[in-house]
Amino acid sequence: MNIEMPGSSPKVAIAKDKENNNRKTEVLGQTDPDPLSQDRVCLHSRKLFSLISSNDEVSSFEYMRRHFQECSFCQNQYYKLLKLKTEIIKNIPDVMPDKTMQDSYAMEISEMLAKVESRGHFAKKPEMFLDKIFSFFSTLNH
Amino acid sequence: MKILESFLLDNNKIFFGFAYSLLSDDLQAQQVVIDAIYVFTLKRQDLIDQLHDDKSSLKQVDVLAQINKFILTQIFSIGQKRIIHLKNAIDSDGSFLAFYEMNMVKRAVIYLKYKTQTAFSEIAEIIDVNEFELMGILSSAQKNLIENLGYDTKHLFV
Ligand SMILES: [Zn+2]
Repeated sequence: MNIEMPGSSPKVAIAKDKENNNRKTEVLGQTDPDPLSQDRVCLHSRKLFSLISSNDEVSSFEYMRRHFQECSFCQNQYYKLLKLKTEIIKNIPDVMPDKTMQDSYAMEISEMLAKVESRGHFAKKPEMFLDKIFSFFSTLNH
Repeated sequence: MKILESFLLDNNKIFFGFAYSLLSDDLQAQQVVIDAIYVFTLKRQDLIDQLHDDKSSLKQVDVLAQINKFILTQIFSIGQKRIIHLKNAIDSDGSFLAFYEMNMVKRAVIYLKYKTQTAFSEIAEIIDVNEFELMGILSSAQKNLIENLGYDTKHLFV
């Protein structure tokens, strides 16, 4: 599957990928060279995905924001990941039940709850009965 | 009973959406939701009683949250049993293929994470793993989905 990103430069496959005969596009179609082959890889970037997955504690976000000011590598990675997050969300099915299904759901629910309610009454009575017995005993103790 | 009923009606979209993300079939999804609620009415009389005995709205919100979690848990566990019979029927129309190429646990995590307000700790409970394991599942699910969409993830620390 070869998906083009909206707003990205036209598909630029890096040479390595071509060699692999892999039809995968480079991440977000951007042209920067392989970051791992460069000296300026930053270990902080390992934190980035959990940051955008928002399991983030505020403190780590604050830390990374300050870090971005001095590290363009992390900054770039961060924006790439944000775009990927949008892609993820776009590709999750979010299907709603149609009107007929909602109606039948409502009917089933109300039948089920009616049964629970009638059962609840039977469950309640002995409790009240027991309460009376206990209060009866407690009056005897005085 | 009115509170519970309107709560269940309001939340049908979340329940149904979640079940659909697992099963990719609307009739099956609806059935799983109804079965899950049925199990809830059988097994959690305690929560139903709490809801009616305690009229303070703060307490009720808390009980409804527990009910919500219980039903999502049931949807997941019933859905998991049902998927075995449905394996070949999954996503015949080809939409959201990248999503449905993932296994059910990953689908559940991605759906709850991105489409609902479910807290991380609750997602862990619903799919019955600890939070550390959930972290691993979430990152490999995200990676899978991105790769299934055709992106190269080898430079990304997902
Ligand atoms: Zn950095």
